[in-house]
Amino acid sequence: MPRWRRMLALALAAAIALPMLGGCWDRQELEDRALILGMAIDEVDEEAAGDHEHTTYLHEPKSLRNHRVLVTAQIAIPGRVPLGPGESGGGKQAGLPVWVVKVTGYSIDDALNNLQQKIADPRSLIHLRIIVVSEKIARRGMEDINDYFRRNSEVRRSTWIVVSDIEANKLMNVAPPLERVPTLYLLSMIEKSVEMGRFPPQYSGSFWSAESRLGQDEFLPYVSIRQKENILLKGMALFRGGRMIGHSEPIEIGSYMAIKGLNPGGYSILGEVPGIGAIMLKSNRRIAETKVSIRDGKPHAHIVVHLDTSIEEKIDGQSERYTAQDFDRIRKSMEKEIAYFLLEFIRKTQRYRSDPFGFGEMFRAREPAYWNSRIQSKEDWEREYAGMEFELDCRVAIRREGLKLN
Amino acid sequence: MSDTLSVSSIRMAALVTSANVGIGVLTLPRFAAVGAESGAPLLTAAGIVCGTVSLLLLAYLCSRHPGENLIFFSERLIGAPAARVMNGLLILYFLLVSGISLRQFGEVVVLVLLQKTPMQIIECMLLLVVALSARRDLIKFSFVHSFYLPFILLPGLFIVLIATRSIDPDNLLPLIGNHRGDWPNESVKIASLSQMSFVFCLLVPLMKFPKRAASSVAIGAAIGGALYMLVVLTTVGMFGAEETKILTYPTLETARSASMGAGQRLDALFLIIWVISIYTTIYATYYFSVHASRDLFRLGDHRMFASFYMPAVYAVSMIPPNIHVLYSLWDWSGRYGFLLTAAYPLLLLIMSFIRSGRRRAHA
Repeated sequence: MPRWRRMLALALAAAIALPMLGGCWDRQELEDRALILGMAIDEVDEEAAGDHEHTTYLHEPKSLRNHRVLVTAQIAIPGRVPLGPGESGGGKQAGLPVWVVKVTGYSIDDALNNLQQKIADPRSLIHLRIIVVSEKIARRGMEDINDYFRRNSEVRRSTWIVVSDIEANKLMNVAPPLERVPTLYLLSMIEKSVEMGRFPPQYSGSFWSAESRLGQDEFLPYVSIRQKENILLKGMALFRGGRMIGHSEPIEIGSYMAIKGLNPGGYSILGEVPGIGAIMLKSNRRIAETKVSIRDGKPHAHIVVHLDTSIEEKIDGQSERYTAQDFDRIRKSMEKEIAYFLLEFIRKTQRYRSDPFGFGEMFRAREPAYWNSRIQSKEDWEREYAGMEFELDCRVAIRREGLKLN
Repeated sequence: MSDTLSVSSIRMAALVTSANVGIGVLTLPRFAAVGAESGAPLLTAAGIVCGTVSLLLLAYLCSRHPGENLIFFSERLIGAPAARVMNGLLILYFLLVSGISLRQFGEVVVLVLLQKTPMQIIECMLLLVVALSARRDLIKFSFVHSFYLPFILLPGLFIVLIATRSIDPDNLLPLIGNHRGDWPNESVKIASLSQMSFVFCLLVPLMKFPKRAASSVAIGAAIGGALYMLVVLTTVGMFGAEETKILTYPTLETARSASMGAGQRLDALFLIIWVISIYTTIYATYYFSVHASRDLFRLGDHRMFASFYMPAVYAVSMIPPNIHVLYSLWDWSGRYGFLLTAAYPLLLLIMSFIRSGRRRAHA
């Protein structure tokens, strides 16, 4: 009898546990969701935006008047996204492996709700890899956009946010022959830049952390399109108080990475060396030391930048053969030149009152007495930064010159 | 049968570690950053030392009374009525803690893992597992903890060490933070995390060498504390104090940001070990209430309580309407709970000294 009852109890327990173990509630087929791979956010004026969809409001919210955004989403079409190199993925005949949908709204979420009204499958941001924001939006302020993406638990901190100088949605259509999925091309372009030392790993996570800090301003990659199908990494979009206020030149990304000592090295410097000619030096490794101090009540930084370089090219050379002396001359004149343009970049950011380097954080960490008495908010630091003094030494070491000796 | 076995010193240490590492892991960096900004690691250390000292007092107290557990000897030390009230309060406190922990668990799972599953179901499943395992005896209870410990510690350590690559030392300076925070209050809040292993006082009588209880507890608490320290160090070091303050679950973000090579994120691994650590923690607090109730009511079997307390814990977990209320309740219970779990053993220890002194004086 007890044995029989035990069996029954066991069977009952198993029967109860079975539906629970399946995890039925959150079952989600891959084909049944609209995976958004990339997103572009543009400003749109009230006439061009067209009718209101009234998905999330009945009456237009007053505080958001003239605030509409155009969101262009790239949704992966299951089965057409090529998974490996061998797979044809449906080929070109079948069209793009992504479906581009445009929607407008007062905010990102409003636009995405409008999007949901238009498509059958539930939208999903778990594979969102890149967000392109037009410069106009970035100059208006990133606060609202950040808020949505930070709150959403599907969005990862390793997503890229990119600012484009033209309409962002154009980047959603760039499909060069190298990559079949447009978003993935843009993504691999930026990720490979990071690998090659041509851009710092400024993921959305680092962007948001910098935004939170009092002693650092955030920056983002700044891109553009050339000849319709080429994406150009144009520099860094610099921010102040949550708004974009300017951008750097491409070589200044190298300056930034040199001042921060970020590796691997990647940028080449074209410089004129008197008596020798124009030389291309490629930085292979960057080391930077920054010492901060307070001098006469003003923040002061002494930066020493070491660059390990190699000679890549010589143009209009007069010398027959390099000697150790020539190397010294090249080194010295390049040191001067590099120090000059590193400082130029710092001055530029000072004019913008935007501190992408996080010098303020160094003062907060190492000079707390100064920091606590002077800095209460981010604006305080931005003001102090404009008057900050710099001393910069650049030390260049030329390690090799390739397979040719003159 | 297993009553003839005893609890080894190592298993005791394992129990303390696995019980302490739990619900605090996800949110501790935020609390510490809010409390002391870049001084978060130091604040955490202060809290952990605070908590460990109180555990050591308890362990020493228990080893002075190796024959019986806290519920019994407290009645001899301060008199049955007072002791019963205090023990009853302890039982209620740990039921409350179990309930709040359960709710925190449910909130995280619903937010990041299973968005569509009702939180009630998630909580019920965990509660069911805890209640079923709480029917086991003390020896098996200690086995469960030592079994799961490697699954908590090793992957946890692995993730934290990978994340250390992205630490910026400037985020951790100045060591005491830029502004003067409310250190005593905040460190007590962190110290209360160590009290999750309070249950070890029921196991001391089962130890082969009860005199070693204090050293086992010290080792266990130090290992758990070290993991907490590492979590705070990496998280605040990675994000900076200002960012850590506004992240709901900063440690989860650390795990999500720590990646191995291209695109392989460690958050799935992290969430798995986190679920295990929550289980062992709630198991420890729930088990204390269950087992202490048996001894308080002088019953022979604790299994009835294991089922009986389930609705109570579930009800507590359903009280907070949102996570702000949840965390203020957690704050409140941590503060007064620490007062209870630290001051009560201290009182007993003093009484124990007085009594033994008197006994010696009489002899």
